[in-house]
Amino acid sequence: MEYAVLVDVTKCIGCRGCQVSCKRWNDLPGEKTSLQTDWTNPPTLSYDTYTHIQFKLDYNQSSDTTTWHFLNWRCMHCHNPACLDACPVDAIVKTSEGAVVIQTEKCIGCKYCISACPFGIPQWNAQLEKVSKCHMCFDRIHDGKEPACVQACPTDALEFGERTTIIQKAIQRKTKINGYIYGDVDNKPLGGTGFIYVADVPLQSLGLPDVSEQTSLDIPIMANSKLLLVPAVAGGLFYLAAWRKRRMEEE
Amino acid sequence: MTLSKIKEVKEFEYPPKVTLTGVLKGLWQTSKLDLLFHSLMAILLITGLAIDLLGGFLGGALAPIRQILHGYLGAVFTIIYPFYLIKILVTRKTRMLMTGINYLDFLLYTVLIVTGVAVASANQIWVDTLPWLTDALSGLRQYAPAIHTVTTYVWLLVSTLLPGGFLHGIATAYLISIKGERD
Repeated sequence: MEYAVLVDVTKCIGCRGCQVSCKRWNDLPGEKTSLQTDWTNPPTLSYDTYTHIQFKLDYNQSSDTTTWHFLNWRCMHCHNPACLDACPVDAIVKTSEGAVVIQTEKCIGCKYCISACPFGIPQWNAQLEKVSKCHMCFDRIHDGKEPACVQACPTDALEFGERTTIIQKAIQRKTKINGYIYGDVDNKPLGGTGFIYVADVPLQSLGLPDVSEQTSLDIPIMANSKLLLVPAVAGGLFYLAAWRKRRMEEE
Repeated sequence: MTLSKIKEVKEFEYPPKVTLTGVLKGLWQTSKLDLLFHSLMAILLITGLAIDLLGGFLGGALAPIRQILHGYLGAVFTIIYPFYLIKILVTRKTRMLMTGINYLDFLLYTVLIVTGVAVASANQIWVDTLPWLTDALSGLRQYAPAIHTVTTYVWLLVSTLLPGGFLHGIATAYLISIKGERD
């Protein structure tokens, strides 16, 4: 069964409980940061920070008012992950529950996933030569629990459940607040995401990118480029055989 | 000088014995840039193919190969490549030997280098030291791995069938092996 998480931006109060619970469950060390002008802290995801809250200040010129939006940000767990397609050593897998997981012991640090991900999620550690990211607490899901960030959320801005149910809830919520959906229904980045956002403003205005449904690797020539080796090898052998025959005739 | 003091000239072997070591030594004496270019080219191709074709089986065991043999040596190749290209283009003799396909080869090498650098530009060292490079290549970075891999296979096909640099390499290796056997 595939699961998903509904991220209701209108309910998030920016308490960063999800950040802390993620660090605790995954036993990730804290990082020394400096206070940023936009209050987002840590300012970016890192090898040891799988999720964080982005603080977005929205200024409405006509009404001369400002509104805070708090955006829970981590791996989107795409249905058709670009990182998975790009990984040359199959270190990235998508579980039947929908989580996209990097198997660190298999990672060779080629950074192809970093390049391929349109959301800029996988994070590089130069010392370990490895990449990490949120794994949707696949170990917890496997035990029938919800992800640590969801469990910690005090305002139910994060809601975990079966994917089709979550999509229904997203549609209901969108209708109720006359808002927007990102990740499914309105748009399906990389075939739809495992984290589906609902907000009262277009999610693109909060920094979420416009991503097509397919990755560059979905183009058949790219996915099957290895097959070009067959005619290349055949051609090479043909050339060598012809050259050898000519040489023997000359001799 | 008396006749007795004349050094006895060793009998020349003709045709000279052809071995891989001999060819590499000759290349070292005539052009170190050539030797570096061709050796690195072979290493990068073999390690790249190993990562792409055997990655699913060997997994994490390929990490040092990716990091050192493909990554660091790729950086060395990137540095020497412009010098080699200039040398090829300004030397009349090499220009005369170049076919149209060889120019296509060089175009594809350039694509491989640019996309390789785009992938590597995500490294913290580049972000810290050359942020403009990271910025300049950020638009390309998403597509760079796919372009890098596909270009390699396209080059192998084009360069073998038309024929270009890859067939030149295979033919040289083959020639050395059969010449060595015959000698």
